Amino acid sequence: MVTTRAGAYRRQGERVFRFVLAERAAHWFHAISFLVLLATGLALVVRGAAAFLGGDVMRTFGLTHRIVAVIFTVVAVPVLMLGARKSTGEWVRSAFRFDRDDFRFLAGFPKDFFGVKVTLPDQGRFNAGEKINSIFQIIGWFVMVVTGWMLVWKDALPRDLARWTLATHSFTALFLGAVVLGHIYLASIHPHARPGFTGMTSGWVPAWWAQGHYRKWYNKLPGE
Amino acid sequence: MTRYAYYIDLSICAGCESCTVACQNKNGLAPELAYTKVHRFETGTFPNLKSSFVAGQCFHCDEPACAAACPTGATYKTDEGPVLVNEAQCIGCKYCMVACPYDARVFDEEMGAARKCTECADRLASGRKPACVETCLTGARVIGDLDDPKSPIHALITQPDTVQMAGAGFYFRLPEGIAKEALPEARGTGVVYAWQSILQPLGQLLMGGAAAALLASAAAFAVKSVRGGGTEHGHD
Ligand code: HEM
Ligand code: SF4
Ligand code: SF4
Repeated sequence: MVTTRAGAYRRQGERVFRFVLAERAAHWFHAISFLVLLATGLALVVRGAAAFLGGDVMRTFGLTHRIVAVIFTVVAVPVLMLGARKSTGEWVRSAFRFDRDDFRFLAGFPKDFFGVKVTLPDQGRFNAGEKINSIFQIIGWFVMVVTGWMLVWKDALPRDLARWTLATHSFTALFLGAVVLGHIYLASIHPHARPGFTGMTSGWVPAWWAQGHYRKWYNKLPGE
Repeated sequence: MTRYAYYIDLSICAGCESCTVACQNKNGLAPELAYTKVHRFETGTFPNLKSSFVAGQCFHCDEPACAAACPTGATYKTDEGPVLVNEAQCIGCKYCMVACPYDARVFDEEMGAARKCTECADRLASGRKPACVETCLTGARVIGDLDDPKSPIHALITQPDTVQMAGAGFYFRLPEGIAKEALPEARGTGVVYAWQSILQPLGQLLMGGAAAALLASAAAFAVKSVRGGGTEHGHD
């Protein structure tokens, strides 16, 4: 496993190393299991979907939801703890800490999102929007895992508790679905953000992009 | 039209459970499964204890929480009153069991379906009575049509000691000295309706809103790049 020894995150010519293998692996295990859970769960929410797909498909979805839930529950945290403990700790701490530049970033972000010219303040390793996404993902993971496993045994729970658990699991899923649509769009389509996509594949991003987007982080990176 | 009402006279119920058994036979239920149960209960304080019976079963709610929660439409309310489940369409998710305030849904592991009392809708359609009514030794169980002025059900349900189950065409006549608190009570279904009619639509609206916002953003960039003639890059 790639370590997070000082210097893993570095400048090298025109590139910057942004995510170690453990971070990328955890991201993709989380992302793909999340999307499978969302798709198989949405079939129970969208009117007419169950009738359209039929009983056999719906039962298979139910089973898939439970199997993929195991991956969603047990993979990401240990991978991050084993392969990127220090950087993960910093990510979690920074996600819940907002400074004045973060608030100014958020105020200007809607313009940037729709392509209106705006100067955004310098950001650290994660910008304020990514911090908000991180908060939703961290809390959302916990809520979905706890309520999800409770629902596997829903008929054994006190009725009132089971009803609240179902409502919570259902609404949190849809809320996270809305958040993830925005995340996927920004990461893979939005012209200002998508140059960073390779950070989650090879681990490397263009230096010019890192400098423009995460200046406070970029300036502290060891370089060659 | 036909609107069925069901009446049980608890003052003459003997607690013999013939109804439970007749129902199990009619519906092919395993011995540990039952659509209608007879619970013995006691009121008062020693030595003035009073013992009586109350039937626990599906009351065929006017607005069934079980049908509201059902994601497949397998559970549905009929115009005549009975709440039915199409067992072939049921995926066994057990949402209805969580939703029903009276624990009236019965999970049949063999069938993989959450089954329920049908009020013997099939028998009613051919002019017969439900198995439980037909078999009741004391005649405590009666079914009738509210839209038929000649039906004897009207005289029964207007007796002063008769209590209607809230939000259902189902009536109990209570034994003397037994308060209506002895009857099962529907509680906690508000969250089921709120989940189905507020949270699910709101959540889908959020997802739709997010999709609309990113389409608008993509369109704005497309217009910009056509106008500007060049492609956008990350420098602002
Ligand atoms: C972020 C990840 C997850 C998402 C997006 C998700 C999504 C959903 C959705 C949309 C529903 C349908 C809710 C409704 O009908 O209104 C659902 C149901 C359910 N989910 Fe999840 N879920 C996730 C994680 C989990 C986990 C970790 C478990 C644990 C086993 C789980 C277990 C269940 C169960 C048992 C149900 C009830 C339906 C059934 O029994 O098949 N979910 N989920
Ligand atoms: S009593 Fe329960 S099973 Fe019967 S209709 Fe009402 S909610 Fe459904
Ligand atoms: S178990 Fe069957 S009847 Fe009950 S809510 Fe699920 S699909 Fe509907």
